[in-house]
Amino acid sequence: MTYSIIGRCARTGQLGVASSTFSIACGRRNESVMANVGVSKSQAFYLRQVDVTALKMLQQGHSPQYIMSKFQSNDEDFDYRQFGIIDREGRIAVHTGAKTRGWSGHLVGPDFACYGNVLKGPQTVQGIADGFMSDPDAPLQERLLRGIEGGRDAGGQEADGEPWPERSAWLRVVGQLDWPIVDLRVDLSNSAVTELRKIYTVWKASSI
Amino acid sequence: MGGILVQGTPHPRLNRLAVNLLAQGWSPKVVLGHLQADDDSIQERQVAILDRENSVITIGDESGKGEGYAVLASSEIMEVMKRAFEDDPSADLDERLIATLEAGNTATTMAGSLRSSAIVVWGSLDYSLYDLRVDLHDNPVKELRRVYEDYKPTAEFYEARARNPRMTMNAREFAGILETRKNQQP
Repeated sequence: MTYSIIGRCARTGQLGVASSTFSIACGRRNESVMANVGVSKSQAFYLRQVDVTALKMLQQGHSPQYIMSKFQSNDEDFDYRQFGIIDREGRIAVHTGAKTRGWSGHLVGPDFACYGNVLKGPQTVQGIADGFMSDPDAPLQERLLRGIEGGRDAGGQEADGEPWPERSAWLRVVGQLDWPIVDLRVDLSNSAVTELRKIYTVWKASSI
Repeated sequence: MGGILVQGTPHPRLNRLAVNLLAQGWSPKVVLGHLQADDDSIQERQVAILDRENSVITIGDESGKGEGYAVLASSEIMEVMKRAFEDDPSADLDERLIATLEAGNTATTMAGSLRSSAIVVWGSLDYSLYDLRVDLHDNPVKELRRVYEDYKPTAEFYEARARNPRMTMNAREFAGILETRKNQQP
């Protein structure tokens, strides 16, 4: 019951995340994004400490792949977890545990990974990837937003044949500075992704 | 570590600097001195700093004549907020902060022009206990209360579920257990 995309802009080096889920306030997890370091976004029975630890290990110089292997060997519930890690070089590690619920899976492309659980099917993650790749020259925040919009349009979340609404959504992009370039949220709404686009449009108009 | 909020005409770099200085061990008073010495536009800003030893300093209030303060028009609103925060010292910090925001919202005449609101509370962990936001809304404080009321009971459930994913109960069942446990506490 969550789908996310983590990505990097090859042109600017910016890093970011866009996410949407049934649970409320998914964007409260500021610990998942660190400028000049990377993004670690865990979901599906996630422990919030995981993202903190992943980013600390990235800061030390470890690769996303190595960090994932450490989590695997130190977590007896690893099969229940889903997460993605991207570093500032664009190296990526994604894990979808076999015991995550509903249809769950991930997809990795150039400078991005998208993943989710309790989804309608593989079309949701494919929709995210297509949205992200639809305009590679666009700013990272626009690409990430199009990613989750693509996921929503492809069917989004579904459990027991019933679609689940997106109740919260999040878009955060960091560049060279310690504070984000974009950090917009919808914490509780019946159509959070649509609402996020609306807020993004207002924000963009006022930030120039 | 502490809390720092610059408003009026804010810049995130000041929040970053202040938090870094608190982490070095400086008192809010010294931190503010550094900010004033290292920021050409400090007269335009409203700043409040609170450290973990409960030492507080502010500028841009009535005495500081900061630009941002003029908008509020009345020190009465500050009094109303202060009373709301002090009303129930035994309540959780998140509840006290929300109540304070609500009191200010009720007292101010500018409520109609508010579009966003937020609450952030940290404990001893590496991540926040509460971080809720309303980014664009006609009545953002009321909306924040709605989000908060929904979030509070579910947060513990998600945390417990992550620590024991083999647990198969759904969200509603778990909320019932939490309620029972709460009622059993002396």
